[in-house]
Amino acid sequence: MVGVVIVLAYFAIAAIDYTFPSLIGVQNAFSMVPDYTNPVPSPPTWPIHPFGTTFPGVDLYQAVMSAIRVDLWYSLLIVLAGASIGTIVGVLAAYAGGYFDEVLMRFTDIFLSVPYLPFAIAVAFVLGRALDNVSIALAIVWWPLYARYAHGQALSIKENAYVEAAKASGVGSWGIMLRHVVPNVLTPIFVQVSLDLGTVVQVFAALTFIGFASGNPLLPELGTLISNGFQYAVAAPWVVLFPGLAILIFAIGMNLLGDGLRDALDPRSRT
Amino acid sequence: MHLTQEAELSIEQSSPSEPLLRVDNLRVSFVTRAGKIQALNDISFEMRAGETFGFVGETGCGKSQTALAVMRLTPEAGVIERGEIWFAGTNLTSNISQEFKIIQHKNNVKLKRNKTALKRLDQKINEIRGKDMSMIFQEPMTSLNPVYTVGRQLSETLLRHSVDLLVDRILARSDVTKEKLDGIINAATRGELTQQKLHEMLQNAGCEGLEDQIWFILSRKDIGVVQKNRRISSLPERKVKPLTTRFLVQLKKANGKIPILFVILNKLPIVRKSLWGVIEKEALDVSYELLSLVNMPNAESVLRQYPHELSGGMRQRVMIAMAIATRPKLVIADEPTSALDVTVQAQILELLRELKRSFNSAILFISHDIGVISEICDRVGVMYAGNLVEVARLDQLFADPKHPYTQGLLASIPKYGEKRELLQTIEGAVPNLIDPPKGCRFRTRCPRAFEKCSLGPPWLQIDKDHGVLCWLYGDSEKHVDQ
Amino acid sequence: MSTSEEILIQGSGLKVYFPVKTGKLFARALYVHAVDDVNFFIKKGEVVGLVGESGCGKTTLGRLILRLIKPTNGAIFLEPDRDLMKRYLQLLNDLEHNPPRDGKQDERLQETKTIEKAHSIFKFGHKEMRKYRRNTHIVFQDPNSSLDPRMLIKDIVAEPLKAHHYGSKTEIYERAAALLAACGLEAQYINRFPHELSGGQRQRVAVARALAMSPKLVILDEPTSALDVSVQAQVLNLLKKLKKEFNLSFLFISHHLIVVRYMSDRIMVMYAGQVVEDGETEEVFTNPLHPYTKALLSAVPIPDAKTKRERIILEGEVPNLIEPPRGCRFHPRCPAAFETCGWSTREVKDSFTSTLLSGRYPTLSKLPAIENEVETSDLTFQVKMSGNLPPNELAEIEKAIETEVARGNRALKAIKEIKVDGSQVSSTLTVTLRAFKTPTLTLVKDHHSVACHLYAQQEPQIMNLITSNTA
Repeated sequence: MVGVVIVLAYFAIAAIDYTFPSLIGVQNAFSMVPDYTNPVPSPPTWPIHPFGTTFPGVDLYQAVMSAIRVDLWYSLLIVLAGASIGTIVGVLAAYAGGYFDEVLMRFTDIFLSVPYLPFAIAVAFVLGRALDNVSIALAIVWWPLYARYAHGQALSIKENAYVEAAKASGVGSWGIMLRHVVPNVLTPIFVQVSLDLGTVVQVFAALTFIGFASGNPLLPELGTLISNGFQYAVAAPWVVLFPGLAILIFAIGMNLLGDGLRDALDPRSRT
Repeated sequence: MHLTQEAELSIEQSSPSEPLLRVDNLRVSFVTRAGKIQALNDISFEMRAGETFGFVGETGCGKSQTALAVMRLTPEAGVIERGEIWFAGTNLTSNISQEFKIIQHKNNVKLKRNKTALKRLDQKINEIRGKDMSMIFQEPMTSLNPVYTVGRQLSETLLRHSVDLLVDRILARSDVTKEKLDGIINAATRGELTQQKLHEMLQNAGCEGLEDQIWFILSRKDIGVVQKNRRISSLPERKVKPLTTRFLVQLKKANGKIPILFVILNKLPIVRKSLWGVIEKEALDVSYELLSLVNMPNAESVLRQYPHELSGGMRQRVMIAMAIATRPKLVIADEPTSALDVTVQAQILELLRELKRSFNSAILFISHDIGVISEICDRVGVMYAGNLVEVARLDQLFADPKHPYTQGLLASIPKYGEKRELLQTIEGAVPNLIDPPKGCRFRTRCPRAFEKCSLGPPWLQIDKDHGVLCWLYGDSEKHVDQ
Repeated sequence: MSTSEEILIQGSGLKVYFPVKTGKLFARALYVHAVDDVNFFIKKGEVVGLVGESGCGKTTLGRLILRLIKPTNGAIFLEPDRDLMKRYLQLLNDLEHNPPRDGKQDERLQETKTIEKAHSIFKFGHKEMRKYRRNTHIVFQDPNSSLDPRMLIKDIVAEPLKAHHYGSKTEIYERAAALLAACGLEAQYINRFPHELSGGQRQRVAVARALAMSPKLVILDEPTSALDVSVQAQVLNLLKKLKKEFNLSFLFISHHLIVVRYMSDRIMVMYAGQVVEDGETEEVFTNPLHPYTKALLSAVPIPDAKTKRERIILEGEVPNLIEPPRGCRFHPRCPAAFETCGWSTREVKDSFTSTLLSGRYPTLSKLPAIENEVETSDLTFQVKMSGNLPPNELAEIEKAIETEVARGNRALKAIKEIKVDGSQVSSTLTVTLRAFKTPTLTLVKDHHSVACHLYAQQEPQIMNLITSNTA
């Protein structure tokens, strides 16, 4: 329950930030507004700078709000892309069986063995340092997990008597796959997606923290914020505290949501 | 096999006046989010030593829970609300008021467990469980530890509970001399040796501890007379050093608990080999004997195998061997043959019957299959929705079932050989135990229910062995309350 | 019995071998011989019971009939033309008795292949398969996994109707509701999920689904084994009622002999992938012929107070189907096994050597030490001993073997002769076994066949089908 509230809050912030940023007090949703006259971070003061400011004179509150939107967007993109591709591959492989299955799963394994960090670096090197490219890199690394997971689920679902019954009833292979296998596979996948969103946000932030951000240093992004303010962390802790908290709370919220989702989606509890 | 002196004594103790197991007004409930499940409702029954008592009933009737309660193994969410369980003179439920507390807040029920009281209970009952009372479960794969060999698991039971038996055996070998055995060997070759005679001869020679070992050798079917004699006469050769003897005597006195010092010293291979190792080897030998007792083919190699390498029937035999290892007074068998094929089931039931004859253990046999029950039980208890609705001898149950549920149950089984068109069925379904019908729980489906049935039905003892929980047969002082 | 003499479905030479993954790259291919050369037939309106223990192949056979798995060999024909079947079976019989040589063989084999191609369900194309699926269906054992937990009851029953394009949506759901009502499920459950129903109710749903397209044959795979006794009675009654009402034929697969006896008109007993006995239910239950059937029937626990019964307790366990026993698969456990039942050199060799070493025969104590035992061929093995074999020792050995056989050692019965090759230093015993045959299902009495050497060779069951078809 708590998870739902947190996550909904985040999504709400993201949505509002995109559409009506001024509602939550954000001046410029797409770029941080630096104030070079006062570049040193200043502590939180109410009501002008509720979170304080960070280098270079950017209002932290606005930055965090927009950064949430940005991060959420990219994370969703990565996870959903990875999940879709992975699930399709996994289910197809499981249902087809035989050589097709083997080949596809080995192919998946190859991708699984790629470590995400060097890979992201390589992609950034080739395609240029943009957040979009980092997302692509992460999505490529992420889908094999789903393929594996979906594959295992689909295999065990395939063994169920109701699949055989459907075959005996004259339902074709595609019909069985779409109507029986996929819906039953999707439930655990959804749960996994929600859990992964939390993880991906952290990974994404970590990458941008290291410095894979876009060429635009003023794009509001949680990792960027932390890296920007890192040097001031000792003297001005709020600079890393608020973005960090944003990530943390989101991850926790997502985890809780995932747990709750697992119970909610089980038709057994729909009495 | 034979009766040890302990077994003989215990039979004298617990018959005919004192039953081996007595359960009085046992009430067990489970506390869940959905409410309080009234799993067992005032169950009362008795078992005498050496008798086989069967519990029969359908899913959810509470038969497994009764067995678990007797062993005080009720699962986490369960609580014994009231009642008494007496086993061989010990009250296993003396402390239940302290162990559990059910707290009721309006609609919410919570369970509180007193850890210290439960710990004390554990200490008390661990002496009994596994030794005087043992259990055979339905799924042998999950009840045998997959990472230990069969021999190790069997030895573990013996080392935990029967150290005195093992020590006796070892020491008896040290005391005897070849000459004393010659008499026995001669008698055996001539074919005159009965168990009784063997017992006497050994008693005269002062080494009863050898009885098991000699009798086992004599009853083996795979070796010839010559080999048997050779083995018997080689028994005294398996002596132990005097230091070991002293250690063993001390061990026996301390009832199997070795001081910490020894535990540490045991790590040294020399110490292990001569002291504790001797006991372990003996335990392995006894394990071998036990496996032969349960007709396990290739017993020696089975000792070295892991449970997953054995088939279902063989695993069940291992479970039975573990259950009888300590010569328990009571064996609780919970659906031991339900997971087995028909022919393997017949083998296991035959084995249980044989062991019943030789060991004279009491067996509490639980099954949903009345056919299996009728193969092995002397008396039967029929359970329905947490109540014990009828108890009778086997012949009485089939000839004159009194409770309408029993009658319905028996009628719904196809009669072997009769080609009736349709079977008789019992209307409706088993009630929800969170909110069961008030009074008699069967009344919503009973073809003979009447007004009185909404009050707690009385237990009527129709004769010495036959009792029924039903208003149809009169009234009594003992009622089952809600 | 309301069975006509018309054959609804018939199968011959059915084999299902599952390959075993050994994990080694170039190992010899191993197979689990789950179903090995099975023939069966079911008449219209008949209930055929298929019994056997775990691993006997009955479940596999059930799925094979529905083409849920692929056969390694064999054919199944639905509502076959009488004359065509006659011809087909005659060809098969002929091929078996006059094994193929070149030239002539091709013709007969070709003809069987043509018939199969045209009519066997395993050669059906898409359209014919759909029609077949309309005529057959199955009810599974586990009510929990046989219904999709995410589908509503009404959708579960409607699925076959939709797959076969029964009609408009309204018509489909109307029929679904009617089926569920006919199966005794109260109307309120139609819009629920499977987990909200009890086991017995779920089985009713499974039955309703099976009957959706009015099939002619329903395979019931242990339909009541997971249910309580009282619920089982309800479901069995329902099945009987529906069978009568819709004139169905059932293949009732179960290990529960009491239930099978109650439900079936005819039964087939399977052991280790083969059919060992086939006949009318009452006949087989009262006069079982095959030793396995006898043991099986004597092992059934009957609920009554008369516990003392002559019980045949079998030794050992169900055989390994990867390397099943040769000849008759039951022979290692059969109390009546004799020479030609299929004793292999390994079985006899072990028995032979342990007899020599057992110490039970003091006359054999003068034997030289045994060095080695070698299986030299299918039917012979050698025992090498270090030392000279005294002259009359061979006679002593033979006497010992005879005594062992008299004591009940059946493996040694298969020994045909023992020869000695001796010298001062070493001697070799060469033991030859009698040749063995695999028993086939042969007709012994009216409508009662058994696959066992104990019964004199008569007409194979295949011919029974032919004669019954010519009525």
